[in-house]
Amino acid sequence: MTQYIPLNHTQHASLKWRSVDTAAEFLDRQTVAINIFEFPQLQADFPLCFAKDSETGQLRAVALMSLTDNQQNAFIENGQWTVSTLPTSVQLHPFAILPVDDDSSQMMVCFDATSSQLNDAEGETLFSSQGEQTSVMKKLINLLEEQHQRTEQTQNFIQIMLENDLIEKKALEFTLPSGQCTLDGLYWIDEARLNVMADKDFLELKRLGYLPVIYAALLSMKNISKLLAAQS
Amino acid sequence: MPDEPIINQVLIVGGGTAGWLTAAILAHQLNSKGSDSVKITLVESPDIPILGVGEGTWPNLRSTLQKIGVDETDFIRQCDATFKQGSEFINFNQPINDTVHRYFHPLSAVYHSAYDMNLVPYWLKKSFVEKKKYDETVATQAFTCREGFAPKKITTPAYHAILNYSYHLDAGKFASFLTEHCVSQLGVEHISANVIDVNVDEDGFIRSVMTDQKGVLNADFFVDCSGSRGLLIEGALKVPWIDIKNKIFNDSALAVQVPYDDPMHPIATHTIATAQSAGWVWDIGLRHRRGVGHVYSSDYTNETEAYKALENYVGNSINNLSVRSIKMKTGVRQTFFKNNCVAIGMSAAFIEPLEASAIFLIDAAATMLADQFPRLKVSLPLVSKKFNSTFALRWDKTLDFIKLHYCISNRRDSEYWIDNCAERTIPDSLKEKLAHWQYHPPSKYDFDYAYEPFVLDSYLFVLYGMQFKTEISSNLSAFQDDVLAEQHFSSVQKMNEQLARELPQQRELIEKVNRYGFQTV
Repeated sequence: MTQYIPLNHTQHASLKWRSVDTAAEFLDRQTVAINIFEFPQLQADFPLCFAKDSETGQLRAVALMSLTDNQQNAFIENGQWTVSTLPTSVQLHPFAILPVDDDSSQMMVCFDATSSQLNDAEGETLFSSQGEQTSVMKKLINLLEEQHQRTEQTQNFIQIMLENDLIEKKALEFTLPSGQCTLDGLYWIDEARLNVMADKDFLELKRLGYLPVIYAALLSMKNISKLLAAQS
Repeated sequence: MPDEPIINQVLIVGGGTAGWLTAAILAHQLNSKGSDSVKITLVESPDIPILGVGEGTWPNLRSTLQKIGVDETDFIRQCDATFKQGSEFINFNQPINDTVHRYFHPLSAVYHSAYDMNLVPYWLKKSFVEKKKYDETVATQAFTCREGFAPKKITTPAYHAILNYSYHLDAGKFASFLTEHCVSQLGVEHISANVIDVNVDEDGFIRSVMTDQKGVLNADFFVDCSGSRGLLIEGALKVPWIDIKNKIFNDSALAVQVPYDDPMHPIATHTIATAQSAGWVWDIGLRHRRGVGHVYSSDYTNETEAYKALENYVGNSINNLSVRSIKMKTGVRQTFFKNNCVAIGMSAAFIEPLEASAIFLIDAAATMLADQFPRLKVSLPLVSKKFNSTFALRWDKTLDFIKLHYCISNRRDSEYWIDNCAERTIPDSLKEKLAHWQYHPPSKYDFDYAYEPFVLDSYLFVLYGMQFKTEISSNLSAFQDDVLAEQHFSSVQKMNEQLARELPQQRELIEKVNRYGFQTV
């Protein structure tokens, strides 16, 4: 269970970030949140789809990392990621930018207090002895801000896709050595609808710059069979 | 093009839930925005406030809203709506000592008796041994209502349900919401004026209405949604109103809006109806307030006593709230559809608020009219004949079902209850069935009209919630599927456990819908 708390230069002055050792904390993760700008790169390795946040019911773009929720992440072996291009949210883990309170538009940098990537012993320093942000910290904040904007743009993309009926819920059935499995609860780009949509609506998607994202998602479905091979 | 005169313009007289819901359903079905289509105009008085107390609905509204293109999240946000999974009836039988009598009439049974196996005889057999209530034995929704669980989750798509549901809503806000939707999305023309005269030709067809501010409004077809005044159907076409006071006694109401002490107060997921000595109190939980009202019979009590009963229910805080006094004109129009005019809403009929049949039958009437719409005038006689016969039946059946809640009561503590249970006040159609059901559990063959408004399961919940006695001992040999029945009973209990793990409380879900909204997939 994650538990985000605000990062504070007095309380967390001595905190260090083991930024590269992310594999351990993603070993049990079936999906990882991504943004639309990453789709073209990530489609090389991961199936890219959408999943609902159980707290808010809202769809999020995700990279699928395991076909079942009781198997470990198929892209981690011997404690190491096996792919070179990882989602930004993995690189920024365990940090996030969150609203100060429920109804606020004011944002603050938070971190997951349960993460073992943060400690007092080893890793990158976040604050200098004077309590100033280190260059690592400054870079991190910039990246978090960019990620936050891209997440919002991803939500806009999902909204437009929903308005065009281009996202469908689809259960995937496959056979693992443990038996017949169904991968439920994921949402995919509806290629059949895309092919029959009105030209003017399609051109609007082009105008919005969404076509590379859509086709990356469609191409990424080939990775399901790779996942299946890896997890059988 | 045929030579016959064509109906191109519909005028709906009266706003409110009846007028706007009818406008939306007609405009959607007839595609009023298109060229060559039937145009829908609604004229509404700027001076007469809508009655606006109808706050309970049936699940058909859910499909209607979806059909007319309403976004469920917008609707819930703008109408303060909550989810309704049924009704609970309290003290419709005599409470014993201090123990209240209560039962649920949920929207769904798990195993619909009409399609599947009728569990009643097995529950009857079982109830000899263990005193388990009928509602809890056959329906998970009796459990979810009792525990305040919502019928779905925030991850469930808009309009989809885990458990069947309808809504509680703010009727005033609902009328405004529909107005906006009809005008901006469905191409309905909205005119604000008072109708001061109706122009009827020598054949009894309405030609136009005269208004105070917008002059003469012509149309080919008219819908009377003017409420119990019946401006067109009664005022102009002189169709009589049939009084039902010899069967249904309630004719008055005191209504009040009760805010929650705490904005996060739990919200009931069913309508709570609590019987009084000369009526009953409704209690409907919306997001920011409850709507509470005492429906009573002015023949058996008076407003002062009715107020006391309402005060007793709401508490002293009622003295700081504004209480509305409402006279209800109960009865049924002799004919609903005459010539080129149809009455929908309280101009057509009104039984009483128990079981929330009003909005339900508005929706049903508008839906049938839209489906059967007589585009050629020559079709009017047949369409009106079909409409009149089905709605005469639906209103009759609604009256029977509402009367059922009273006439099988064991209460004899007031003249109101004594008379409600007296043979002379019970419709013959109901009496006949009740006599049969004393020895035979009700069956789907007792409900064989396609458009019965209240079906077998509804009757079963009320009959056996009210501890109606069906003596099956002489026919036990006909009911030997005990093993299967037991499996059904235990699967209901298993489902309850699963639902309790999965479903949020109504308040939690309503807050989330307002904050995040449902997705469409």
